[in-house]
Amino acid sequence: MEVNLFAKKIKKIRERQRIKKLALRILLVSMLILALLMIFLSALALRIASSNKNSEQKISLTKSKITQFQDVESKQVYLVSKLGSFANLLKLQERHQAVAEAIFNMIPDGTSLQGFEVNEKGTIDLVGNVPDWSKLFELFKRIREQTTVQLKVAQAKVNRISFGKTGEINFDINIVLSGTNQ
Amino acid sequence: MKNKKLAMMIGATLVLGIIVFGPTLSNLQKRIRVSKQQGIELNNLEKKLQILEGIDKNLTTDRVKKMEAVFPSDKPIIQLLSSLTQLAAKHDLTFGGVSLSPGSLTDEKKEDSLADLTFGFEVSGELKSILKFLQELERVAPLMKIDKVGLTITTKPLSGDNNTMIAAKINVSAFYQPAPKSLGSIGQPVKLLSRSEEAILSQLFNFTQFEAVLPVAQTGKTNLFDFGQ
Repeated sequence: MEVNLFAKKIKKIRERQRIKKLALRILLVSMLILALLMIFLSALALRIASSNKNSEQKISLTKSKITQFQDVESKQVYLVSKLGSFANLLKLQERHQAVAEAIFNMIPDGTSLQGFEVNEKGTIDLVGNVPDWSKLFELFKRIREQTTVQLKVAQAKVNRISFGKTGEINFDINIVLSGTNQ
Repeated sequence: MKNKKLAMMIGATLVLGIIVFGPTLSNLQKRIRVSKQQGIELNNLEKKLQILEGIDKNLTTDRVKKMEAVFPSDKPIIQLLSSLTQLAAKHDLTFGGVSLSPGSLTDEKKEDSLADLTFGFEVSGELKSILKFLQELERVAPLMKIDKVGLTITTKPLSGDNNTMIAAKINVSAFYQPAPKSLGSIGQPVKLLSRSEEAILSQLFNFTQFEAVLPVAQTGKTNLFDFGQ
């Protein structure tokens, strides 16, 4: 019968050696992985740097091409900068023209106007004179019936009617045209 | 005990990794960021170049010339007077009584802001001609709008016909807007015009443009006896 008195000790030593070997392996594998990773990252960095340099060249080339179109660009910028105001002015002008045309359509021949202000709100103070009653009635009739494609008389108020020295009839009429704010 | 040692080894490896790879990773990150920015910049620039290449140079030049005549960058005093006199002459009307308030001759307005110039004048002639004049007035370059109109019937002396003669006092506003002073950075995108904007610009060509006629004044010494021989 054989009795091994160092069995426990041997087992312990073997265990230690196994751990050491394992640790060494882990260390070696880690080093290898880190080295590979380092190589990979460096290669990636180099590749990106080269791509960046390439992009930089393309950017500078594109910029120089754009500079050649500076004349066209400045004209385009000029047009765009004025477009907004111009469009608003055209709209305003259309409304003004419609109001002015509506007023001229209302006035019968022989009428003398001291003046009227044309505004986009469509409120007009018509001051003037007509030679006789028939012209005044014709003016009233035209005001009542005034309808154009864009405008119609929403409200008309006679403020004053008086006789002048030479027999003419003076009038002062407030007119509100609707459809001017569309 | 075994696990503890293993954890320590892994920990040591990680620390070593961070020390070695930290700067490399940071550098890489920086390069990736630069690459992304350059990509975006290049993309924008290429788009801009493509837009610029697609713009019709001749049409844009014509539009700019017409825009400058219709909606000028400076106070259009001379063009205005010239257009009005020529328009009045076109309709056989007498033109006069101009009251102009040009304001300051220096640029006190903010850049790109809309400004107007108000003035009054008188035209006289037949009613029909005056109505045509008023209708055409808002379609003449430079752009203007009628503010106030006063009509007075006048008799035509020594005339046998029955045409009604009218004197019209008209107040109008003309508009101008200073042009932008700079293009901005090269990377700034160029705005392409939409169809509706193109339609607005095409209206520029509906405006009648009269040549600005400047009075010719003799200056300096002239040979009074030079008859062009």
